[in-house]
Amino acid sequence: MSAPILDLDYLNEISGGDPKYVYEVLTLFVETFPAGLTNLETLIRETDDYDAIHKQAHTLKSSAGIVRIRGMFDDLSRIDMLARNKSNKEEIVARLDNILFNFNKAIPFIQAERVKCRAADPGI
Amino acid sequence: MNLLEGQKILVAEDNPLNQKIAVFLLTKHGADITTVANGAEAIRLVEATRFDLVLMDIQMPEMDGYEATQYIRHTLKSNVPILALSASNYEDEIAKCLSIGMNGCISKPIDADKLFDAIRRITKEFNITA
Repeated sequence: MSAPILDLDYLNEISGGDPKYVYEVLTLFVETFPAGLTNLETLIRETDDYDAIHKQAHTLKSSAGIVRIRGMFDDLSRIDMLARNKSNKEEIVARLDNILFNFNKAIPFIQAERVKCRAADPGI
Repeated sequence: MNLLEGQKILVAEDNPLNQKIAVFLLTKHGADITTVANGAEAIRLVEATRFDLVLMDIQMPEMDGYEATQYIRHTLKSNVPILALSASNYEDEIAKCLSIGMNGCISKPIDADKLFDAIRRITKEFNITA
């Protein structure tokens, strides 16, 4: 069985299931992650700046460890490592494609979770 | 009493999600938190304020956690406990953290138990009391 497209176990464990906190973190994620991902895509597709690719993947990886989208942490970790070693652009591109595919698939699930959080805590 | 009641902790972390997680966990245990997003700001604050602990991200813009730690140790001559936050598990990075004078290293995303174990160890080592 494949992993769920969105896994909020870490976030729920950290927050004790506090809907307001989960909502805030998810909101921060949707406000900040896409720009970093776009930057990573530009760096990978338009440059051979491995150092910048490594740094951007590294930053995104830590966000991906909090809001867990299927395969994303592993894909970013792999890009991080490959770029650090300045190797295998082909695999980096393939991993990026996988990240973008899963990210786009996960967005409606993240929005649905935010709606659920608002329903659980009218104070949000 | 909360584990961190009355303790002043500086969180130097540029990733807003990691910053939010760290602040949430530490505040829940009574700590008084200040946040910055790069090493240069961390240095400025360590110079101006007494902190009981610094959580220092390794990779930050402008000045990274290594450079900031080296400055704090060698130029400011400060022994403030510094716990590295790293998104890597590379052995060479962890070794470097310790070799430049950091007091420990925890990986991100932050595991609450590991964070508080590290803080307890440092608190004991440095005899920090609330």
